[in-house]
Amino acid sequence: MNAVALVLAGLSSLSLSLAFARTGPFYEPMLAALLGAIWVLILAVRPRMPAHGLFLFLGLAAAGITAARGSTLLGLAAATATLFAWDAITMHRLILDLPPHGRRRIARRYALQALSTAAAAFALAAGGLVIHPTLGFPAALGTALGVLVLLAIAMWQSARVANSAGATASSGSEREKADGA
Amino acid sequence: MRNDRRLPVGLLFGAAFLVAGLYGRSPALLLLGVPPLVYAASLALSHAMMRRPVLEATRTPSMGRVTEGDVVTMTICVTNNGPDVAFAAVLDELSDDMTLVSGEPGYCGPLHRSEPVTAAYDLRVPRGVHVQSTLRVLIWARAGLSLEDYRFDCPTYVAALPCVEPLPAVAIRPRKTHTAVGPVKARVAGSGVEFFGCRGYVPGDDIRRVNWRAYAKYGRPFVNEYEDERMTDVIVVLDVRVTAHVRTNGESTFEPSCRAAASLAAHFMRRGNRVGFLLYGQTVDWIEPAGGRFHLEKILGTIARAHPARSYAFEDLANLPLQMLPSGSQIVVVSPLSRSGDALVAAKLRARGCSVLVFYVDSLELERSAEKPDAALDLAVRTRTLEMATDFRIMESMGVEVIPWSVMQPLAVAIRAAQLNRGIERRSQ
Repeated sequence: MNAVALVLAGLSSLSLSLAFARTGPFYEPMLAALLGAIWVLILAVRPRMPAHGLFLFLGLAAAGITAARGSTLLGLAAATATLFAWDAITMHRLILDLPPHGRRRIARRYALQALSTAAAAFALAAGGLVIHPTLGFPAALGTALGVLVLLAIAMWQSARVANSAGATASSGSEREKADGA
Repeated sequence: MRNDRRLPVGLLFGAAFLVAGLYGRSPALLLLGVPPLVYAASLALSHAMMRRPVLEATRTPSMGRVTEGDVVTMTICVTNNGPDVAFAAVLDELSDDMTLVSGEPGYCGPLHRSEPVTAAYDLRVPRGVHVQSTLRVLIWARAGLSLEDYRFDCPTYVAALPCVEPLPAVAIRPRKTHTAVGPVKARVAGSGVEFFGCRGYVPGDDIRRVNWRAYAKYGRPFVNEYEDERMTDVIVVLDVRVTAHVRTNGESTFEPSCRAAASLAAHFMRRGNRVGFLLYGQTVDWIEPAGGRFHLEKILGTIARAHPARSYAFEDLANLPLQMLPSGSQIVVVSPLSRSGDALVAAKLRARGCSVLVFYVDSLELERSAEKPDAALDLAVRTRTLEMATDFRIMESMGVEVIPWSVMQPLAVAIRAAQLNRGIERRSQ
């Protein structure tokens, strides 16, 4: 899982450096590469550090700047890679205490799921990049609003199920207490 | 449930890009909002479609009370009473001071309905009362990135009592004894085995106790008297002040002190005395003198819970609550006596009529082994040795018996060395 995070963080750094090299002054790609390298280093050496959220914010902000300057595809790649790198390291921190064989199995499973979701997200956005000049801004806006509505429904469902799931777990000690009573 | 944090992050960034795109009428920024929103949607959908198990989890130790350094086998059992789960990870959280000897404190794999899953692992436990509480179960969704984190509160207690070493006989001379027969010489004539004196024969005395030599010499009969042996109260005082103990290179004087106090309490109790216990440091933990195996377990349990403590009220040994200690009893103090006034506390105890035996916990060898040898160190050691000798002289002048004990050697060795020295001194006198 850490390897997935490292690869995605490297990809994000590369995309941002290329995008800034195309559109910005000379120090911008260097700065992007430097920050990317620092993040990769932290991911490799200190995966438990809480600084990864800051790099997520920096990466997405930089992706926004590059997209606004015209390097939309590279910005999209950078944003997707940054987001999923952060997700991978979040999950990695969660499973660090698990036994090694369990970690390996989870990592394989997660890598497959995360990379397919990232690819789908990137493909959808890149598809929008193609659709937008064809159908115009209103169509893109309609699609975005539709996605938001779908998301709201999913969130509501999720919250409902989570609330009902709260009472499904019980510990041995609680059961013993109940038996004792 | 870990989606709580990831989902808002995805939503926040997606919404931020959408708003920025709409505000700036920038299709590029609008499209940039797609990956975070797809990510959030994937999390939310995967979470909504997850099949939730109904779990029960227990943790059972093989033994609840062990001696420090023993191995305890923990067995964790998780039962799923809900729908089958394709992949789950069960993780038991270990406390920092426990060492995993063998086995895995967890399980990874499927959780089928009504099929309990067990995992056993062995832990080596140091002295103390160890509490394990949380048992985690992570459940993965069949598709998507969602994950649920169940935490079960299964408090498990394992008390690791201090190790009790066999000790040679420790001679004590308390001023007061009980009427019951015991191992302590009571300074009165009675039915012991050690010669106490002679007195004139009175009718009714056992003829076997007549001292025939005295009869031959003085022309009237005398009988031998023997010193009575009775039970007494022994109070073991363990000093747990953090300022008194030394810790260097991971080694400390605290653990050996706890072991020494436990060994002394067990030793005096096995010899037939009533033993009380006082833990002096953060608070005053006092156990009234009594006998029996249950009482010994109580004392060992208190020592198991002991830890170096700091308290301004009990920073000086001079604040020892003397009123608690039975007057005339035998006080056995296990302490490094770090402060200059500590040695004078023995005087107060003597004034209450107590006999005092101090096991001086010497950390000099321990500290010396951690340092590189040089002239300054030698000088420091000599100075400290002189200070110790002065303290010993002060205490001995007050009638306090001191047994210096380096924590690098067993307590029994220090006791034998003290007995040998006392014998040499007596012979030289």
